[in-house]
Amino acid sequence: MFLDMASKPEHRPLQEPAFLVLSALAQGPAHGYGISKDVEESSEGRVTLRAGTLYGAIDRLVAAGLVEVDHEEVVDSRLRRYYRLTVAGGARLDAEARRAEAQARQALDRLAARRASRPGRAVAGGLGEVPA
Amino acid sequence: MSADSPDPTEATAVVPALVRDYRRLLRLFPFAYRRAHGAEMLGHLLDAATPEQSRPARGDVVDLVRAAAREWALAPLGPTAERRRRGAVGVLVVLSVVLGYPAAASVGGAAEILGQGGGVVGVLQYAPLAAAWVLWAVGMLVLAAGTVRVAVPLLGAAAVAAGVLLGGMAYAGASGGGLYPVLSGLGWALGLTALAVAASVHAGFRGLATGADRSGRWARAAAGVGALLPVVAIVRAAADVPAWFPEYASPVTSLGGGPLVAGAAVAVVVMLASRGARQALPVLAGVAAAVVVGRTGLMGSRGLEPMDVVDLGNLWALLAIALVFTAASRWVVNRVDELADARASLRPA
Repeated sequence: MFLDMASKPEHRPLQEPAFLVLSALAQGPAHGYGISKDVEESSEGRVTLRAGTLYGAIDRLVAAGLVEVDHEEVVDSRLRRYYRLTVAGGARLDAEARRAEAQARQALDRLAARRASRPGRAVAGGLGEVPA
Repeated sequence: MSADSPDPTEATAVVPALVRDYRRLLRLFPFAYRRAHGAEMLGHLLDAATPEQSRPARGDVVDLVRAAAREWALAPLGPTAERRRRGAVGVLVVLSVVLGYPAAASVGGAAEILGQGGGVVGVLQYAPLAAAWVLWAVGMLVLAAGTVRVAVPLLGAAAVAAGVLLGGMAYAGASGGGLYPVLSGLGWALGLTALAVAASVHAGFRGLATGADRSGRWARAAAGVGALLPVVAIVRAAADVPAWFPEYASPVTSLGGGPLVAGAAVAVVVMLASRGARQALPVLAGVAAAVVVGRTGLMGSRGLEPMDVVDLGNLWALLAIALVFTAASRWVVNRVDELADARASLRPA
């Protein structure tokens, strides 16, 4: 089981910055600063991708064939290079999002079952009352 | 940054000192990276700047310095992420097999010494890097099993252990012993470091892989071969079979100059012809230079005799030689890549 998981790429979860960059590009082509703003907003300020880190991550995604350059433009004498998801990138993001959704749904179902089996009691582990 | 890049000082509400400071920070990156990303990174940083901001934000400075250090550390593997991915696999495959030889010699020797009651002192004296090679062998076994993310810290620990042991040997050498064991071990320590870095880069790309991971299969097979050699050496020592590797044996001293040079020349030509394999050449050239030069008389040693003249500068010189070989090979490989790209662009679609 362990070895099997290690040898199948589709079983390896994306790291959060890579996931958020792909998610930002799912809306359409975006330049580096746009991606960084979107990542910060969608993570509610929890993840900040500064320029040095962001372009390293984009390079790796391009090398992995998940992202590609869309076009370039110059705005206020500043170069903006737009990136877009490739077909493989879209498929990978879709698979990753579905897996995260399934895991979250499973966790919520289990918490709901726990609440149902112990009516009127707080859930152990410091979770308190979990909203339905 | 390219010569035809836009001039950001024309943008409104940007303090010229801020542009100057960001340009200086971007100069910390290798040239190839600046050519690829310098202009867009400068635009990004200026877009993110607040009105009237006159100095780079502290967080940006730290991030850029860290990213530049990372780019320089990975530069021997290639100027772009795609070439680094290929280079990392090449380094991983070749060094996994090649390092099996010194690993087997050291670990097998240590097992024999322990079997004869030599104790830890004897091991430190005659097989000083044995602890690092044991960590390496375990890392290789884990890598062969396919768990790259577990293998990476083990291989990193092996490289650190080799560095610490060599440091201790250099200190002992400077206080009266010889430096030859340090000089002859430095190349292998560089090899361990290069292998750990390559495994880390390989692990990062495996996490993004979308299809069948053929490069991973090659790396696992090579790791299996590499791990097998020290395991066999230990088994033979435990079975009291006569030493498999003669004392002080090395590919350099046992093969002599001619066959080694001819074999290396053929290997270099074959690797240069392959777009993927040639990305590993600069790192391998640096490690090979350190291993070979460290075992010749060039650095002041007298053959296999312990050195009397203690000069720690020789260690820095040996590191510098490895660096020069790596940089020169990288330059050649980059030119070959440019030539191949130009030819590909002229080919009819």
